[in-house]
Amino acid sequence: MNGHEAAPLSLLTVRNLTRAFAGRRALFGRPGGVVRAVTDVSLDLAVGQTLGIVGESGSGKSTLGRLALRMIEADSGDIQFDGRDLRSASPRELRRLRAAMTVIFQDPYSALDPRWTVGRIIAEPLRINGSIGAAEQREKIVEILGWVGLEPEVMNRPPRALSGGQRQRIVIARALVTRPRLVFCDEPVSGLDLSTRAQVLALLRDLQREFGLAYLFVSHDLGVVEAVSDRIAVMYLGSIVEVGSAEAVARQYRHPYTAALVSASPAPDPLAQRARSRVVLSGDPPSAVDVPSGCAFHPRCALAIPICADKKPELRIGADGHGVACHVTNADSSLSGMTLFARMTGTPASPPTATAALARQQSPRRQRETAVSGDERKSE
Amino acid sequence: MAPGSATTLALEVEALTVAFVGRRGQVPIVTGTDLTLARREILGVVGESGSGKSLTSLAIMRLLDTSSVRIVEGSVRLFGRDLLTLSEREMRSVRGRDIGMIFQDPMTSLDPAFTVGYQILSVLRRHTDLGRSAARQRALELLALVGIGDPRRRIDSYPHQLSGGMRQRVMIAMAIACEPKILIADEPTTALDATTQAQILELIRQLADELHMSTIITTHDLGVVAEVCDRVAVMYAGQIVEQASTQQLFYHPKHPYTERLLLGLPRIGVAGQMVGIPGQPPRAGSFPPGCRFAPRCPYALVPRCVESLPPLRDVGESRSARCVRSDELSLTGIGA
Repeated sequence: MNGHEAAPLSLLTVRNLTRAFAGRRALFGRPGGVVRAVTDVSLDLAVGQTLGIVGESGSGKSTLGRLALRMIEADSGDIQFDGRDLRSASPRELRRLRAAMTVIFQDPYSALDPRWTVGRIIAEPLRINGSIGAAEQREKIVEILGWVGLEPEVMNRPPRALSGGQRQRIVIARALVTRPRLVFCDEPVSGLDLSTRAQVLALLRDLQREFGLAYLFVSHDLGVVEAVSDRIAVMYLGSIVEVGSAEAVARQYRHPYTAALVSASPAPDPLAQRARSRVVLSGDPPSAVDVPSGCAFHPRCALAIPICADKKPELRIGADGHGVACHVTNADSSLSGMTLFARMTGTPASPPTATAALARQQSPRRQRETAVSGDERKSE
Repeated sequence: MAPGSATTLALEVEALTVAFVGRRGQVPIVTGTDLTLARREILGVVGESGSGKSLTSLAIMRLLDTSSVRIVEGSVRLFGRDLLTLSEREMRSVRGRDIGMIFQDPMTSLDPAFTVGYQILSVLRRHTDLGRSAARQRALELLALVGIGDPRRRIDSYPHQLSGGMRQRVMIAMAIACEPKILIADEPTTALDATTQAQILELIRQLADELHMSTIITTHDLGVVAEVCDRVAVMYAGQIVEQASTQQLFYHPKHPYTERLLLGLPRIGVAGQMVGIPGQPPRAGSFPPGCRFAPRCPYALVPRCVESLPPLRDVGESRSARCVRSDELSLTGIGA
């Protein structure tokens, strides 16, 4: 495998990380099997950059982030953080490193202890990481509150007195008060409302520039991931199926699953949205207990060929840093973006034009693929 | 789908006001909502949490928790019949038979203790006079209709044995079991993954079309609106601030809040930064006296925008906006 040599400024380097869990036993059911949460994943994150990890629930994206920061232990694989071998770090060393790699959790409601004041919540990481004087601690808290756009007065309040957006700013302040180099953002805006989401993303961007932070940014929302990331890794059932620059993955995607994900993400553009044909995946995502053989995506893939069921495709990363784990598109490099999309939907490879969209709008009833069997239709 | 004349309207909500009712009196949460749903139309009601969109749909179905929240004013007419004057018993037969409902979280709306088949059957037996075996046959048909493979096996499954997408399909099967004229879907895809969401929206659109239903979808996601809705009402701080056809709204918004929402959306494959809206929406009980969006609005003028509450004005092309400056502002839509 080429393309995995660490860039000169690599901050986090993960190689062949694997973790399986004993499956939970279903209520009254059979004992669960083995959940293969993350399988043989490698990734690189450079200083001051954002690596977005996108995938649906059960894809292992959050587990990957936790493994990479050693919040949970991997079964096998290597993690280098800032040149140090994280997996062999002693508990004491790890505690020290915790100040340099922090987490922003999804839910600002449950991430904050309701009995503590905001000041104590933000001070907690400072206290864990060694003793500093009360005056210095206060100074640091006031400074970080300023950076996240909150007044010093909120220090004395409990989190329940704050709105969702303000709470998420507290979560961010707590993650940044120790001046980390790496922040694992686990669905940081999923719990937020429309109008606060863009605010918080803009804040994260500004803080990244100011403090030279690297973000490992996990989300199920491809739109959000594309907006914040330098590079994107797409996960499906515990493996990375595609990785590359944000632009390459969102526009010149080369994995059929990425194509489906792009197609499924509703664009806020009614004409384009209704004109285009869609990749509609059949069935539900299989669970990580029952990962299909070969390429895990093959049972739902429109392009699957016999080898896909037998052999897991290798993630091959090209000189441009764009890589895909797919037998079909690796063999045919012309399949990317619109051409891949066209092959999957059986439509012409030209992007939808506004005229075509209008023509379609004016047709009496919109024509759509139907997943409903004909004999179930109601008569007029 | 021409809105306007009374005969084409499936549902008319007029001056609906919903308030918290507590010891210290009433606190209005949804104020003066006017909505019309034309026959066979899909109407999106979009807003953030606390905007009042879900309360509006619950009020239409009269499912508010009346110990704390009450309809204090207005009317809700279903094909001309005022639902707010019906007895609870009459209303029970409207729900399920005339109006089908889908909620956000199928896991909490389905009873975990009963099989999928039992739950669909109880809807059918409450509202129809089908016998046991005919009802079971109909339940199997419904499961097939909503795209559940192998209905004979799935009908005896318990909700926890199904994936999130399948549970939502079961909810939809229950909602359409009696072929209602109106379907109200409250955040129907919020709990689902992107690829499953696309499937469910497609299913709702298809069923609305085939069963000739008029549909209201409440959502916080403008992508969902762009995808399935014919017309949109945007809610902010308990009020409708703009109503327009989906295309008009996205390409030529007339209310600054709509514009700012559109600017805050990420768009895949389209360069440009998302712009946030500063501040927070006001909470019920502390609404400002003037335009409720004015404190966050980049176009707000003092005193025009802050003195009195602007009405929802007709701005032509059968659309309306609650902004005193909508004629003089040239707002940015998608693709502009």
